[in-house]
Amino acid sequence: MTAPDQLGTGASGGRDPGWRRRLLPERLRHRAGLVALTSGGVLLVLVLVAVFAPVVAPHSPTGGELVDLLKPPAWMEGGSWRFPLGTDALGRDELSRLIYSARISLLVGFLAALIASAVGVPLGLVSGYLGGRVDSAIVGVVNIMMAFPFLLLALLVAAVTGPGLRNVLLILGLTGWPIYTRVIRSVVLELRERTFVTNARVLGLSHLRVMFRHVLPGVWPTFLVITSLQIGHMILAEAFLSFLGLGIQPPTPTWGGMLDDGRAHIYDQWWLTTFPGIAILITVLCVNLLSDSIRDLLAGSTRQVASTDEPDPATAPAAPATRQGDHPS
Amino acid sequence: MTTHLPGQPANNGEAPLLAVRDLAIDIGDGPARASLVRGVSFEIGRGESLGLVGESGSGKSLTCLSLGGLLPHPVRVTGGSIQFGGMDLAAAPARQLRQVRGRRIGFVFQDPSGALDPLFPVGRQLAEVLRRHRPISRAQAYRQALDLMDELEIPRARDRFMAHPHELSGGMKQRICIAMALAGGPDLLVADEPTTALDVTTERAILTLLARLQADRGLALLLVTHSLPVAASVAGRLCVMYAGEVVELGDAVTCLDEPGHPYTEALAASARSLEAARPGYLTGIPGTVPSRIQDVTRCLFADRCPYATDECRRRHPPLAPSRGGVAACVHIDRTRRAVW
Repeated sequence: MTAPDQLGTGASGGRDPGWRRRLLPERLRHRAGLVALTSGGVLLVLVLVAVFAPVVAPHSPTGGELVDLLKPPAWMEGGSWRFPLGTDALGRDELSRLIYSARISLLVGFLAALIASAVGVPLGLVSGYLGGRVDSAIVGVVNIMMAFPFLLLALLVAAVTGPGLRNVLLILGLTGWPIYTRVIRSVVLELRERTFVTNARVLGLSHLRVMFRHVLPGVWPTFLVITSLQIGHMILAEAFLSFLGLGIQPPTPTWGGMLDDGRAHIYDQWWLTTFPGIAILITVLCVNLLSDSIRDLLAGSTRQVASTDEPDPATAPAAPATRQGDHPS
Repeated sequence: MTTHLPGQPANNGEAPLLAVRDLAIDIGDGPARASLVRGVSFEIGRGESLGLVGESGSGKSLTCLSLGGLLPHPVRVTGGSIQFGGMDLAAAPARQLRQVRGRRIGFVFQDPSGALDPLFPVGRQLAEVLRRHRPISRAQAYRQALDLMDELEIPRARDRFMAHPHELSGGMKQRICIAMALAGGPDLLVADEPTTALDVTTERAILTLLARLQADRGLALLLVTHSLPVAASVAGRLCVMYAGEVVELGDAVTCLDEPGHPYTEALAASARSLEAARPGYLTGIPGTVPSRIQDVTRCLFADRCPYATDECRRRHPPLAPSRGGVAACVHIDRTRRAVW
């Protein structure tokens, strides 16, 4: 994101540098497409690193020699390339622990969002479509859930089931679904009034069929945007829980847990807190940017579907110009 | 039916396909309650067509929707009956209504662009409805959908089958909608302003098509429209509604030429002035339809009516025999003045 013409409303087709025109399909050439590609690429690398952690990581994340304790990163005095990012108070390699932590963070992020949506989307669909008493009941529960303090719920669940991966997923799933229900419900409320939904009913289709075949697909773009945002949120929340000791327990490495470990050494061994922090920052930032650009790309495509006057996507501007400055580039 | 109203179809002793009696539709409850439709009665015989005419807010669309149990909450039927195929649709449970909707009564709406799901090819939507109503395989449904598209005079049906709604013109979309309404093989087709969203050329084509389908299939047609001439060109009989009431009901041509109610007369005059197409000389009806009806002890059209006398403001005129059928006006036998 350096050339001035890329920061604006999306360059017109004629001004694209040659390599973009050669390498990228039409819709990925403009600003939203480039952001999606970059953030998606970084996330892909993170996923690959997490999956192949045993191959990529130079050391074991849990085993360390006490002689190596609190070594600084390689480029500092006293550091060595054996431990590129230094070691912690137990002599464990910081880089290896970061790599293994990515597994937990990404897994929790995806799984928790999946659980939350598995509960939240059907409830939102039913609530918005049926309305009436069902709707009032579901909205009531949603409001209670959203008013419930996150930490109190986390403590409660931890006290009942004990800390651990399952506990983290339970807490995040429990606190995440109301967002889905609320947003999906509002989209369904609008879709429900569309003539084609009435028409499907009039033609004799059942409620279930109309709900899942004709209303649910319309929810898809919104679902993608909430889910990507929720994944970022879940990763942060997992780090937060682990930092408090309510999440995944040592010796399994997590970014939040590493922050907690490094807290005692924050003034002298800064790398113990800085690197996990950066890891969280990069991951969540990429997820959010990806979600943002997905929304832009989808908005573009629904506009083209809605309007028969613009059948050629090449002549339509790629991204709406209304949200400049959203990206901290 | 023992009481044969004048202005109803000659029934040859057989019961009409659809008989609406004293239909009343209200909105809301308690002090917020208001009456939208009152005392509406009409009949449609098998294979017969009726044009339901009136301006916006006259209750014609609500009357249509009530036939399918489709009134949006908090609007509901509060009186009367809708006899159709041996049951009362006004009182039927939701399960029974679903068997009627699409299968016995087909509905076509005003806006064909909105009535089709934008995400699926139109042919597949048509096939989906066919499969809802008949126990057939997907391949059979596709074949029958193509046949239906041919019957609806959709050129190059094979190419259009996989087209999404946004790829089709308004007229083509409306044809698809009519095909979907016919998919269940209904006895009655309710078309709620099917041509309002289309241009005049397409309007003519769709109306001709509807008339042909009605003849070919022996279909009964309830055509709702703003336009008196449109209704008269397709339908054999007219039902004119004003402010939630039937003001005139009878033979289409007679109603148009010798209206029994001043409102029908005014509508016909407006249409004629439109035909004459002299800019600046369009005739309208002064005033608007009363929106909240409280006082039904008077003629509701009196305030806009050039014939109105004190008697009109004192009592509510009942339907009485007129030249074309029945009309609700105390001045049915008035000497015709060229007021409009």
